[in-house]
Amino acid sequence: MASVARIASALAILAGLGACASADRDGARTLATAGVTATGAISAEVGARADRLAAKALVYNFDHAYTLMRSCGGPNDPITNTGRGGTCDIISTAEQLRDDGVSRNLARLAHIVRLRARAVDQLAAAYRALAAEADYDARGDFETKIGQATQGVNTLAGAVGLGPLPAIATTGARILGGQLATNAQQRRLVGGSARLQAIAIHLREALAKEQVLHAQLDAVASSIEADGRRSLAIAGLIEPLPSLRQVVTSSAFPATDDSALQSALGRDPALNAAAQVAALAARPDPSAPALEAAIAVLDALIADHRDFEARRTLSLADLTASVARLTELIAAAKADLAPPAPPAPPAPAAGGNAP
Amino acid sequence: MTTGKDVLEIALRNFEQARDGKQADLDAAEGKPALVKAVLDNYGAALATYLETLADAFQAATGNWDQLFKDATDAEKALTDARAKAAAIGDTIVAMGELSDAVGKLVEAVKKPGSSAGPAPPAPPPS
Repeated sequence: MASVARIASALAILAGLGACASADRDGARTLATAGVTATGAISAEVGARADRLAAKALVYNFDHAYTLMRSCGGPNDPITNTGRGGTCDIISTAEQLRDDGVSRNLARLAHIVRLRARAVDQLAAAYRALAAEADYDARGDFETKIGQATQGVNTLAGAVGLGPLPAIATTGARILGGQLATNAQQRRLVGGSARLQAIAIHLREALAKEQVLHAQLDAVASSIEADGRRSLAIAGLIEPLPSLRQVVTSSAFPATDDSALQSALGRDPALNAAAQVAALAARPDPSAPALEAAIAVLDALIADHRDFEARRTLSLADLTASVARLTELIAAAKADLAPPAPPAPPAPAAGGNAP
Repeated sequence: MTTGKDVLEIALRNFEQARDGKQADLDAAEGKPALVKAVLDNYGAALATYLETLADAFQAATGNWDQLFKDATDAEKALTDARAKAAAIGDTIVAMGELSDAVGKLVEAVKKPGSSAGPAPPAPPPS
């Protein structure tokens, strides 16, 4: 599965290619690069989706165990660590959760979603094969080989007293052979594009067909996430600063630095509570836009195929924009999964402009 | 007849009911770990069933994705093979040229005076 960094560098290459000629090798190279970039972005989206699902098992197990253990600890129900059963035993609870249906089915779903990425990755490999064909200088290779063959024929012709082939015949054979090779390569490139376009259309349909299922899966994942956040809040682990910072940033007030926010949170319990409420009430971004963006990437790629096959100039604007949008959404979803960034170093003292 | 969609809807409804009632049930079971565990297990069972139904629905479309994988594999092979074949045609031409060269050199060798392979050249006329 492609990483966001790799997609970003592919986007840079794509931007550098710009609009290219129609069904020639440059056009095919551009189309193939677009295909590799698009499939890379879609594969990363599908992979991130599978990772998010797999991560939900941990959140579910934590929420289940914390809710249970909070009811334990009394003289009749002490928290134990023996593995000999019992409602409040850590090991027994862990063993039950490891084998229960939620963990098993979340793992199964993550696996099924990853299988989708495998098909997308294979399509990327097919685009790389198209790129290799576009890179292959069929005309040059053919002309060189005809040149080499002519030398051998001349040797024979000289030996049997016919003399070397006339220069015009040699040149003619080379030009004709080169043109035939070019035509054959163009047919291979257009045929290859048509074949890949059909697969891209199939992929688009497959993704669109599963959109409703993905939306349902996203909803249940959000529900697990909300339970986990609730438990963290009960444990007093909701950090109010980030949500307060977000409130300040999205208001029209001048920016306040973190130390000022932190001291306000320390002296005002109501502010602290409100910031925690805001953090808890925030709904995670649904990942449906990422799936829609993946479909938009395929639409743009399919349009590029049509232009290439109709020998029109490729316009990469739509593809570049949709891949950029998808990459942005994947990066945002990954940031949700990643641990929070360490606090920023204190701002330098005022008193001068940076050089 | 119950369709896959119906099964999914029933599982979703069951899950939503379990989720919506979970907190009230937990509140009622407060301080009784065995009851809390029963509430959590009941919720977990509804969640697991819903996830399993979703997984089945995804699994039902897996044939479609397997076909995609196969088509992409075939396309990659076809593109790679076609290029190799095109390059091989050029190689055949070179091979024919090399053969002509070898035959030409052989003919030259046969024609050379003193060659054991060919007839002896006529003796020079006496001066």
